[in-house]
Amino acid sequence: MMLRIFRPGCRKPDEMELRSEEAPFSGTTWVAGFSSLVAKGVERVCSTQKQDEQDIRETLSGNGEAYARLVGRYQDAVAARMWRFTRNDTEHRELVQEVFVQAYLSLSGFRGKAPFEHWLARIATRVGYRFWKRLSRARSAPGIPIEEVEHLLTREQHEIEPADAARALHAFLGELPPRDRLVLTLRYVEERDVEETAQLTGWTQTMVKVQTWRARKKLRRLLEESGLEIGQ
Amino acid sequence: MNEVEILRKLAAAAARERVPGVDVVGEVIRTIGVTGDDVYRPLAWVAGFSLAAALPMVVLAYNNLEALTDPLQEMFFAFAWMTL
Repeated sequence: MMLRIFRPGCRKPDEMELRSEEAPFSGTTWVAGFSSLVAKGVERVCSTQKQDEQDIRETLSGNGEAYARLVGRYQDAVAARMWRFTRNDTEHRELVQEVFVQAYLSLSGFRGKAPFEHWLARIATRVGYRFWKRLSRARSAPGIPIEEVEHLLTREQHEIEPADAARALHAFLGELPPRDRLVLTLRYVEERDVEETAQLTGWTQTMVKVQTWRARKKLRRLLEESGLEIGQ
Repeated sequence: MNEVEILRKLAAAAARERVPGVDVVGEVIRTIGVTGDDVYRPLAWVAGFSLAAALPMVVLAYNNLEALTDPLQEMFFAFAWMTL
């Protein structure tokens, strides 16, 4: 079941269109109840956007407290994103901090066309990518025994320990060059489409497609070379 | 299972992992070197008043210094003004 909400900008909840796609049942009561829940969510998103706009204006006029509010509002989301770039606590903290410093330095360039969170996600992706590039020059990623990965893959998804899965994912993606690692993370770990990946990386959509294809090929070869059986 | 299915399976399991919480507000504010404008506003007023008070003193001091360093020139200037 998938519900898509078409919401160009922040409109009043009663003006909102709600379309149900591929729903196994089409009970109008269910849809109405769901739409009121969604409307409340949209209202909350709109009020957050207004707060963001206000805080950005105040930050640009030199009020540090306003920026502290923005950091406080988004640090958990940024921390979750940056955890995909490193699993080291100290590096993770530094990366989160770097994202907000970079965001502050570029804040005058924020046009408000997209929500602040999306803009911040782009900065976070670039900071993470630069970190991987530095890392690939400095040292290789810590490996993981292939038996361990095989063992994880034989189990049901819900039986896999999340930390083990994350460690395995991190380790074998770490064997790839930063570009390949980034595109695979965005496309298949974060499940972003080509358009979103292009926005986050600043690449063209064609480049994203080509890079994805190359990265998949490299990953496949890497897994095969390590002795893992790969299907078509 | 192909390479994408492997990625997706591990990613789905990894998504349940608890991300360590961080609080970087203090560090970020210290790094970018801005604070609330309330902190600097009184200081800005004091600095403004000090500047306003110091300016006439600088002008007076400069004139006095000129008079001390070259009294003859000062006298000629005064004479020139009188003849004009």
